[in-house]
Amino acid sequence: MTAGGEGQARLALCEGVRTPFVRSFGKFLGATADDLARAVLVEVIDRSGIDPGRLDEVILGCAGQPVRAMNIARVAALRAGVPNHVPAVTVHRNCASGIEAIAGALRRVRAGEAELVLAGGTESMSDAPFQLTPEAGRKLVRAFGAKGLLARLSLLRKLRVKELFPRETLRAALTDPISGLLMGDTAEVLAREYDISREAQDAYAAESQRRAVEARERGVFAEESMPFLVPPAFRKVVDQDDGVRSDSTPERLARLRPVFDRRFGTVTVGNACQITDGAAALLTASPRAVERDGLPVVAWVNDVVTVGCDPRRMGLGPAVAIPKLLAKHRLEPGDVAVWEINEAFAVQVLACLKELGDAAPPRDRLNVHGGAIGLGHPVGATGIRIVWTLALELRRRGARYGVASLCVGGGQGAAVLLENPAAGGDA
Amino acid sequence: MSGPAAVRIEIDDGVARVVLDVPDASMNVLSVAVLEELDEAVASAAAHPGVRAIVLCGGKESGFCAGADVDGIADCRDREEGRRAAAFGQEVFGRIERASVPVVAAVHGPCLGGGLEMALACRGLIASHEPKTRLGLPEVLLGIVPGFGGTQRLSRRVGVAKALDLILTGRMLSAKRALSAGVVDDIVCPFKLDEEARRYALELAGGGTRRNEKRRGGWMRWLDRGPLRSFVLAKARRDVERRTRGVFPAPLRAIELIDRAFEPDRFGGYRAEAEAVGELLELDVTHHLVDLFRRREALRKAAGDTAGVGAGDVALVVGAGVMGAAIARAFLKKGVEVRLVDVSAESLRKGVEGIAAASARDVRRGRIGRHEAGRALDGLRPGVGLEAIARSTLAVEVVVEREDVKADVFRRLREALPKSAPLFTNTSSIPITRIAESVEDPGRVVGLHFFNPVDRMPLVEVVVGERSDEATVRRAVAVARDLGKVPVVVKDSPGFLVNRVLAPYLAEALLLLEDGVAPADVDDAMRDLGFPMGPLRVLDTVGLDVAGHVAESLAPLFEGRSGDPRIGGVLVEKGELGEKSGRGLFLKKGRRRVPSPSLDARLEEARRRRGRGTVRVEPAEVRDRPFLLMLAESARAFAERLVDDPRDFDAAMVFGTGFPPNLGGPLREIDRRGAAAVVERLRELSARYGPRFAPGDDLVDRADSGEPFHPREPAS
Repeated sequence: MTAGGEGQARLALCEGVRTPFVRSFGKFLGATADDLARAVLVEVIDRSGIDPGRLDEVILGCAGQPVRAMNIARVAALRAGVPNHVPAVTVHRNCASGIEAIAGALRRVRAGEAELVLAGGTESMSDAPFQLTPEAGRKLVRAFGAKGLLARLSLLRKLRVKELFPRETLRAALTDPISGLLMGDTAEVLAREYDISREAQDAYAAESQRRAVEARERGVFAEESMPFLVPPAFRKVVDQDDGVRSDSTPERLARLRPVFDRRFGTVTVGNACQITDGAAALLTASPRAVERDGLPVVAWVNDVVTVGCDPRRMGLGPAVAIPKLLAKHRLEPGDVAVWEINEAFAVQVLACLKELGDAAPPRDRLNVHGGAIGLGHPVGATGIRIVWTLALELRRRGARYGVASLCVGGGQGAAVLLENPAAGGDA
Repeated sequence: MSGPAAVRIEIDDGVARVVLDVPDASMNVLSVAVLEELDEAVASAAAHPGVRAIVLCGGKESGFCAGADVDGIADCRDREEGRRAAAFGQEVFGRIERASVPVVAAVHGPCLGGGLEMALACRGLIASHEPKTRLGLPEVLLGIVPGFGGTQRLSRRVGVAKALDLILTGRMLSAKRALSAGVVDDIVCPFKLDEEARRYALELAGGGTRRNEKRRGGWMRWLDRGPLRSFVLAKARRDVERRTRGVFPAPLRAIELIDRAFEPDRFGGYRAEAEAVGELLELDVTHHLVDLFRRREALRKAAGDTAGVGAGDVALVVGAGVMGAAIARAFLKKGVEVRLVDVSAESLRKGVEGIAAASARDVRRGRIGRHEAGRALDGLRPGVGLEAIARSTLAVEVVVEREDVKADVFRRLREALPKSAPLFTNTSSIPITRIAESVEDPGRVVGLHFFNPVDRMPLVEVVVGERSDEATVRRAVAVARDLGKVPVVVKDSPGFLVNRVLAPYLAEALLLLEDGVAPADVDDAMRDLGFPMGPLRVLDTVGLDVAGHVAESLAPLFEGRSGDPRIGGVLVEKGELGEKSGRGLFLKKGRRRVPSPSLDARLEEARRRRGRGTVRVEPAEVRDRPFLLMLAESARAFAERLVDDPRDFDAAMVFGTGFPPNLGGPLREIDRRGAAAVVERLRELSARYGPRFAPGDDLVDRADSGEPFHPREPAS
């Protein structure tokens, strides 16, 4: 049981924060993904008190980058007052983009390329653009390039009304282009193949909501999040996640209609993650920087693994990633005190547990504060959220190991091994 | 002509570059000597064999030409001399216009007043497209009119509507706007300016036509024709009279001259222009405006090259109320990072909302680009409580006016901030010296007193406490300068300068109400003198509660000579605080303001409390009661040397209280009336209305000795 796995360096998580996670097209309307990211970067810098000029890199995960903020990490970093000389990169591993940001920081530290890295993730699903059809786009480009008013008009006349009808891109973004399935469809595949009933899913979802309500009341979310003053008007302060529901019972959930397969399906808006906006960021550091600057270490990231699997069964990603991670570090599932498996769908978590069999985490140590069913899943930010939630929970419990894992659209899985420095680790 | 040349000629392959580069000056300004040199240079360049065209350009980094020499204008008080100076400039520019080869002006940076008139006289005018480039005719703001043919050439060039707009407002145009207005013929990126000017000059020499001819004025040119033009000009005249109440003669003269530009007799307009300059230079109002302009520049330069505030600084603004937010915004506009903190999350949010709204308004009105505004707002870091402030490089405290709260804030600022950070307070009523006592190094504490509304009031009082150190004072002056303000250094004394002098004036306006004078009569009387806003309107805008606080803090100073109006207190009790609560002295109806319908009842109550009814007040008294109190208080404040220089004193009053700029300032006004006359009138008022009108000792002494506040100028 070596600390960093094969004797490699580890990454310290020193400070972290997230915005409240808020249902899309709701309270954050008007705030862009870079607005959200800027806010968490500013807050992490403030809370840690570091000089942003000493950062070596800013890495942000974002799955749907807004067109007007290409390389959103750079845009957000500069807007947050990070000086020009600090580089920034945006990473994309679909649902695990946030984990990828942490992995990026870890690799740079291992390679000796960085000491201080801001790793984060941001997503505004509300900002998913509406597009014209490609046919309309082509015709418009030709028309605008034409010489003379008449030529222009005659080209414009070729446009069909049907082609001008805008398409929302969120649905396309949530469809896997290889299998042609919507994310929800892949969940239905798992429900059938693993024979997981609607009742089991609703029961899981209700429990998840219950845990989230309890966590909110105990101030768990207040500790990890910050109030967000919503631009551009700054008229509202949002300081609460708004997807957590105290009225979510299996009976009520049973009344909802399936969304993806209306006749035979089992996946509803109640037992799937919500479409949400939010951002989160962490200050990460190398062991050397920790020692040099006396930075507090909430948790060590011992390792990150990523794996691939069948795009049609993308929800099984954690069932592949977790065994690989544990085997690499010669840990037994029983050594892990707290678990996070992102709740893309209740059925997908349940399928992973079935697939893991004896090695599955017990439900009372898994997603102890609820998950994406209550809080939602702003794709780029979720990885950061679950890792930071887990780190704080390890500290709260004084427990040593924690594992956070996500399934990834397109058929991948990611898992992170955290270790609490205050719990008998061989620092 | 002696000394180094202000104009040089460079001849290169058929084109002569006439370069204006006035020695020993940071900006090119036109004096008679420079004009003579320019005249000669253009003539000799044109006569040079092989030269087919001339490019006229500025040889300084700072720009093309900032206009005529203001000192020269200030020194000229004689009608004939003024007329001749203008006529000479007109002749020189006329020769440029008619030169045997075409002259093209290549403009970069500021091109103002006489500089623009020079450029307009050229056959071609091309400007570099950069933010520094600004074109305009601001002469009216100095009380004169463009005198080197500008009214004639600009009007004919862009039409009556545009010319009125530019000349009457003195507005400056960016290169792009100047192009679309038709003021310039073409714009070009800065590093291509020389090349393109040269090409354009040769183009004109080869018989080419002017560029941008089509755009000039557009359909608005219809207005230039006879009857329509008279209509437009009459409307402009009415607008000016309504706004300025006839105290500023220059805009009205400018309107006449614009009219002349469209008459068939081309020379008549130029002659009239020169005569107008001469006549205006004879007037005191012109010289007051010129002096104020020069004072403004001098005050802004007072800190020399001391660094003020800029990118890289983090300004901590403590308190996010109306003033705190506005001060934060002033920093943000200059690209400074701002940490805005407040004890209450809600008032912090309101502050941020206000800043964002003001910024959005600026974007809507085209004062600032959307992108630029967004970047400025990114610099704003709101926070509750005094957390995470250690990176701040300077602090401005704008918290509630309570000594214990301020003392606590300053103690904590001193602990958290680096030693090099100056600690400024925006207090308006607590002595700086007392606030400074709360920290171990009181030298770091200086008053930086802004006025509401911050983005429109140019004055900042830099208040020096007994132990404030000189470096911090200089820094405060430099900070105010960098925020675009006019800093005046003031001694620490109750109410400092502006509020102290304003207090009796505003109180008297309220007393007039209690005596039964109609609100409109009070405000109109002051506006007729040249105040931009009547005193009651000012009170309504500032808020009667705020004014009450100020009056209260000044009470000891005015012991025994206060009129003590009651109406303010009555309104505050009823929650009718003024504009901010929707109702006060006035009620806002749409965009109009009407006297509050409940005011009569409130006044009855005030009279009842005072135990005195209405009295008959003569119209002359409506004017003199508030105004002479202001003059008397100014004399007292100057006797205490709150500000050392009478010119700075007067400037502070104009920029801070809205004292009529046409009168030059209160001390100037006493000098003009004669201290003896002022004392006599004050005694009359005192006999009728009470001891608050009794003149101070210093004023009485001056009345006896005849010694003016301002050293006498050489007789004109």
